[in-house]
Amino acid sequence: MKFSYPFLRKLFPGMPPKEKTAELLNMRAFEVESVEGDTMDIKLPANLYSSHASHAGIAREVAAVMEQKFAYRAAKRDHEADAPAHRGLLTVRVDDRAACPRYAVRVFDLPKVGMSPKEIQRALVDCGLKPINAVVDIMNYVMLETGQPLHAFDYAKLAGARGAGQAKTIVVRRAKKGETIETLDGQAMTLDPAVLVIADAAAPQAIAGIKGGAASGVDAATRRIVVEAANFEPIGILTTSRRLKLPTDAAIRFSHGMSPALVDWGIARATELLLEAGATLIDAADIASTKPAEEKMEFDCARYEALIGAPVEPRTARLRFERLGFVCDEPKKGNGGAAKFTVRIPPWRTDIENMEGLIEEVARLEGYDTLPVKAPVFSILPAADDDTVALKTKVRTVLAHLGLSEAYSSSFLGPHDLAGAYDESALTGPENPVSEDKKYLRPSLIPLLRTAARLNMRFFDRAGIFEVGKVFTKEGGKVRERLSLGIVLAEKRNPKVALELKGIVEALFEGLGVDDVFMNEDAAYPGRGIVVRSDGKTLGTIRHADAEKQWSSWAAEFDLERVLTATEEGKEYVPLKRFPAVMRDLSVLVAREVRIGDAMEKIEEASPVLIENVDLVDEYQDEKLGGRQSLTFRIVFQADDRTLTDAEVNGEMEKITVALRSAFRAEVR
Amino acid sequence: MEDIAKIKQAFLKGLGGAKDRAALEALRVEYLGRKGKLTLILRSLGGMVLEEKKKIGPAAQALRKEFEELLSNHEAVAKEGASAPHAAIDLTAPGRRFSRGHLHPLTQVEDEIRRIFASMNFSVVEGPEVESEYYNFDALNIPAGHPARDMWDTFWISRGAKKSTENLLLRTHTSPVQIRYMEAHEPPFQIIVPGRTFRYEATDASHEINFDQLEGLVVGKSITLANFKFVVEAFFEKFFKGRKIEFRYRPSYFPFVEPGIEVDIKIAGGKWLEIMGAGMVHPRVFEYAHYNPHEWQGFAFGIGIDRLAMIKYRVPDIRLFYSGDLRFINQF
Repeated sequence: MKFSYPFLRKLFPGMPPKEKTAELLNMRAFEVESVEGDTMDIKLPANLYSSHASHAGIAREVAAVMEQKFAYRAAKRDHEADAPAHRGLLTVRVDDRAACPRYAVRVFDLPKVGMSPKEIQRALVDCGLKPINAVVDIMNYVMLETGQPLHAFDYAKLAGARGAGQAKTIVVRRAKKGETIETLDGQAMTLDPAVLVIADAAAPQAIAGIKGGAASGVDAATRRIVVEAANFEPIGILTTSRRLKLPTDAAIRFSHGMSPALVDWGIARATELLLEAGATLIDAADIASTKPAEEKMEFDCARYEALIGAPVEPRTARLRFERLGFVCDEPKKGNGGAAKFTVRIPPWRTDIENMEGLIEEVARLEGYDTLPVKAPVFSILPAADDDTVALKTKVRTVLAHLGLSEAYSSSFLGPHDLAGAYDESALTGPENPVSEDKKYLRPSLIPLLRTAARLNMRFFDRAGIFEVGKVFTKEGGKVRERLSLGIVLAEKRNPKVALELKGIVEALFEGLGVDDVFMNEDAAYPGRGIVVRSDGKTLGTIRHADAEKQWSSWAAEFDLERVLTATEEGKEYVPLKRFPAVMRDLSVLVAREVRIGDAMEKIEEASPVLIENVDLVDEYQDEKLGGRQSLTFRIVFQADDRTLTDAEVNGEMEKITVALRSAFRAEVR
Repeated sequence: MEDIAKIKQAFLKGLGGAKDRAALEALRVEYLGRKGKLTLILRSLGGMVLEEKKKIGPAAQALRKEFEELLSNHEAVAKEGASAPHAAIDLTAPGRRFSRGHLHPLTQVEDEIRRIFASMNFSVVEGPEVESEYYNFDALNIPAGHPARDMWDTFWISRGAKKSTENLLLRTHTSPVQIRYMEAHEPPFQIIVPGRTFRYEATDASHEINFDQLEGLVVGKSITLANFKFVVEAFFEKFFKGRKIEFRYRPSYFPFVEPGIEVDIKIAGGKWLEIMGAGMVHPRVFEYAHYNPHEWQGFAFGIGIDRLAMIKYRVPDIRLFYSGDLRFINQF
């Protein structure tokens, strides 16, 4: 919110230079975002509009920070007494008391409407407002000074009720469906009952608390005005100003909740300025539902120390409150010996709701910098991280050890990223996406990892990337959020990327302590997909991703919550083998259709006790072999209780050859 | 046994005189070939008396092993350069290249943060990214219709045809986990909550629509604002180890704390950096979590992990973190 520095200094002559003022506010009150020329832009906290969305409020704050006296009075004397209470020029009715707790009006006769004094104009310009004419400028100037928004109607342009003689009518009511208004800035609006309006006997003349209507606007010919100072319920103003896209200065103030007490300041100050400009007060009305009760609280110095961690002198605390406009009683010793005193909260301080609110006022003015730094006494209950936290760390560590690098990608993606691979009706996304290409929440980590792999293949021969993150789908109308692991491996001129990724996945699960991982060809993606299971549960898949001229890529994705349930806690030492292993290579010729996995399974079955490990060390196919392929397996035999003899191993090898021969008509080379 | 010693001597002599691979091979055949001198001894073991066998057997076996090793080592040298057997390796040649996997800089920063807080006995907990309006706003004392909600530009989740009773959104901060944790746990405790958060705003060098945040919450009987200062200063001093850190505390406003505080730091005499929002937990937040606010008090704080990483590694643009570009990631 913009404030005029000369205006502030006029209210509080002790105001230090601009930069110093900004620094004081920054350190003790709230942030001054910028100082440009005479304009200070202040980031006003949302709960301080009633008290500080005014030059009087800021001046009071600066004085309090500087520990100086400052008492704001809106007008030297309130001229209400001069106003003949209801001379009958105007009848005022508030239909919706909840939406409008206070509605005050005064009627003035004017000599003529010219331009306002330079000083007022300058203050308006500093605050980003345009000077219009003496009357409108006074309304705005008083709002800037007191925080109370005001509005002036041209009395002559208002309609009175039939049969009411000369009297004009003002009604605060809900708009009727289809009623229209042209605002002061020329926008035509169609209204409905959700909108609160200020109407005359015939039609809406203003959108309450937001914007005046053009029909009753003040112009050079205006000779009699109705000045309104009212209070409106915040949520209604916020809703309406958003819906009608009218974030006016008045609407912004009212939607933050202003104290109805500000009406007194606003109307008094406006009266004073109008009288100074030669106007005559000729009528007045004030409809207040209930006077807000005076709020009192007991400030307890012991409670302050308990929350802040440092004591405060009762006298100091009292002074801090008084400079902010609170009224305090003499501090008394309480039962525990600590001082307490009663604090009367000024009506404009709508933000103070509890003891902590009072404590904050003293603490911030004392300065958080001056507060001691004290080591806390913590509970020594052992810290316990969520299981997923530990799992994620382990996954990341293992994959990095395997040479993969970690990416973070956007949680959002668009139809283009999905490349038709996902059912868009099962996706979820924001109501208000930033763009079409970010309209969905990612259902999988793979699409954007593939994009990243593609980017990286412009610079590298190989890109192994993974990401751990949340993915989202819609299931039965509900949003389902899962923790996922995605891996994409891309490499140039490597026809076996799939097997490399498969090896990475095997090593990963071994590293995580997931036993009994089974990898089977995915029936839905023959030759292009593997399903990874453990204990009957699908953990995820490995699938073909991209095939380019230069490179190809495969992708794996796993549900980490499922992986978590499959993870065994703690490993157990297995005694080292005491007897040597015997290694034999076996080369066979089999038909190309024979699956390597099947052949290896057959080998293990043929010698289930003595085989320690089977691996494929060579495979090739060429024309000389006809329709066959040559496979070389390396078989390791080992026994727990003895050194295997040649004869024993030969016997096992024989069993294996027989098994391969009968199963695949294999020919040993 | 004498034979064995003699054989060894003769072998070593032959080895010393071998100049090339052919000579080495001849030596191998002479001793280890089918009719080699050592082979013959090994074969003869079968005909020996047990006592002799026990003595000679292991010695002959060991010698065979030794010969094999000597030959193969010699061979290796011969391969390197038969004409210059003592030529050294050119150590100015590049080392073999290994590619190492890299953890994302944000992961590394998060790990570091967790390590520091773990040393102060904080637990790490997490929460959902798609959150209800209740946990993200209402229970944090940010009621509907309150202009304070404007402090968080929110992505609301579209509910499609099926209207659910609860409004869903992408959490705008990690603070909802405060309520979730308190609902399920008894105080006292210390937790940190790292996680992805979302803001509906324009993307630029310092703003992303998704980013990573860290929440902290400490609740106890006598936790004070002075305690908060201790924890936060201990954290930053460890995090920016070896660099001089100055702290500045300013009043601020977040509806879920009272008093509310902003922490700025200055690293090694640089500029002041806004780094953290914090404060004492608002009594109403305790009420929402069904804690008695007269019995418990504590502090909460929030830091941007991205922002810390940008400062720590001097990364100028937040978008680099989410680019998936290995030229960037592999620098860390």
